[in-house]
Amino acid sequence: MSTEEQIKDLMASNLHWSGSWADVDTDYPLLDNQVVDSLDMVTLISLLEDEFDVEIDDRDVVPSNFASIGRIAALVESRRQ
Amino acid sequence: MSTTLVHDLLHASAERFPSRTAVVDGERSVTYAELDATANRLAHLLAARRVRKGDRVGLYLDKSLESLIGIYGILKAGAAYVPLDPGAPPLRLGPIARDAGLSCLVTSKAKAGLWRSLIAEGAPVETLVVLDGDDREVTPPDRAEVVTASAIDEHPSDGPPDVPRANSDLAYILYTSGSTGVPKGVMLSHLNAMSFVDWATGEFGVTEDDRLSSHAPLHFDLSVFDLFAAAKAGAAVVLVPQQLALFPFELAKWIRDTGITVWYSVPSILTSLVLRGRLNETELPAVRTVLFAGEVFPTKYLYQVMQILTHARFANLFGPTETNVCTWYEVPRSAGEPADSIPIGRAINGVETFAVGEDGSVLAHGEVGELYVRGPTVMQGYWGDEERTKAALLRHWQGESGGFPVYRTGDLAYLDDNGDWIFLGRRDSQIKSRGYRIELGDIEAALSQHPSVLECAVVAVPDEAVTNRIKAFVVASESVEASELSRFCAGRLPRYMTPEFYEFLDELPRSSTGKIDRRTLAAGAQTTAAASDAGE
Repeated sequence: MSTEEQIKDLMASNLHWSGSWADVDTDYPLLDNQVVDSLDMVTLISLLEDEFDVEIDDRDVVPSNFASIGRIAALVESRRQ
Repeated sequence: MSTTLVHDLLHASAERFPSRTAVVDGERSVTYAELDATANRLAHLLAARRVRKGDRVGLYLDKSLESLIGIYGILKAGAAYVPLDPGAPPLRLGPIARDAGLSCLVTSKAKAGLWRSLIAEGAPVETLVVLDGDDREVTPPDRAEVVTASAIDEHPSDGPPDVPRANSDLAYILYTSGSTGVPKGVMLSHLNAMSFVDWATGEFGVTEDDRLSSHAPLHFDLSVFDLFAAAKAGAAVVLVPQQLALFPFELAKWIRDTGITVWYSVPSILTSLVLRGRLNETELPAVRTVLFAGEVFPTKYLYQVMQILTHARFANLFGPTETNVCTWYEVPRSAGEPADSIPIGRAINGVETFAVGEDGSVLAHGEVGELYVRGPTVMQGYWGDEERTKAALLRHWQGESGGFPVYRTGDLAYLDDNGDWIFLGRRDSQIKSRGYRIELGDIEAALSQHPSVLECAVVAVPDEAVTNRIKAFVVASESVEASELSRFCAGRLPRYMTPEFYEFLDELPRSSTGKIDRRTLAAGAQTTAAASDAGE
């Protein structure tokens, strides 16, 4: 499974978004569509850190890095190196 | 006792501080004079669209400058505002709109795509007032009329419509989770709101120099402080951008850059600032008061925030929506190890609180009983629900002949040696998550509607970051994925009420009397959660 697919699975099973996950591709605007709830962000970061065994710097938790699944994947990949 | 009406606060500040900033919404801001004038126009427009004294008008839009204009316009027209959770699905909101009789909605063009389904789900909408669009941008659904921003300018701005009003009139109805799956509409009068606002403005010394954050959504009663304490003092209310609340590090910088002086939110958001916001690296000299409410604040995070904001005053405000706020506790700056929990404190001015035993008698210091509240902040009842109102509001408690009714909170509490109330928990299955109060039965009612669900039980799993997470135990007639149930609930419930975990069982455990044994389920859920934490 690609990093993008893993992230999408992780989000689909942990976030309670009422939209259709079938529409969510790597470029789907997560923030404009309110896929992530404000109080779930801390949870999401922890899930990403556990799933990919990386540490995400608080300063990298910014809109540009969470705008889409593609952007989150890029952030995770950059932390893996 | 205050005879002021909530919207009089706006007018008075517009007279005293016409050019001071009333609302900041991102790059936009309005002065008190501008806000008052626009709200007057909207009130006339609503009156011209048959909105009358005592009517309820819905607010169906994200929190914004427009939604605040909506609130004051609705109040000035003599009606009560009913904020609909802009993120909740139409299946949830339609019945609320029907219950409250919302024939008129103040809404936005971003919501236009959902009007039709809201009406299909029972909202009796005839008029949609769109404050941020023009005629070319929105198509009216069948049978409803759309009025756009340009129509507002035709109406006079120099005063509200002439409507006779009393402070016992309803100012707003806030819908909250109900145990049978039907939300309850908590009715608050102008006097109810003003009694709290007068106390809070005085106690926290809010002045025209303050900048108050507005983080809570409008359907959540924390917003009553942000909006109306600001209006009373002539202070600015600064709306926390919805997206920004996702990013703790950005939010900390935003608090600094906007010069917020009084912050009020649920503890979860403050916890996220400690955990992920690098609060210790962001200087926040302007923040002088931090208020929190809605759920228990884990003290280790509370004390971390206090150690960073050494100059600020911290207070815990407590009270179900039915009482606005009934007690409060100023967190002392003491040395040494923090206590495990903090009290909910003492009754606010003009409010009485009692612990009452099973037999209805008032208990002594130290004895645990149900918290009863009496005073001018206590609600008028549940909209259209005499039975629930009678059960919750006691009008002649202990032989009282008149005065304010007593509200039975359902909370268990006792008075400690210092005279502060200590909150212990609930008498029923109401829980808190992310500051929201949730009836577990409300979730079970929604989940039970799924064709594959034979039986279900929903329990709370305690969690430090958000107070509780929600877990559903399901007996299914055929194989069904958790993700399918998750989607199903998301279409029927507000987001904060949808279960985060599902477990499938062949049957639910029963007590000897045949009732679902929720205690066993809850204990099991806690152990599972602890085990998976340990495994990480």
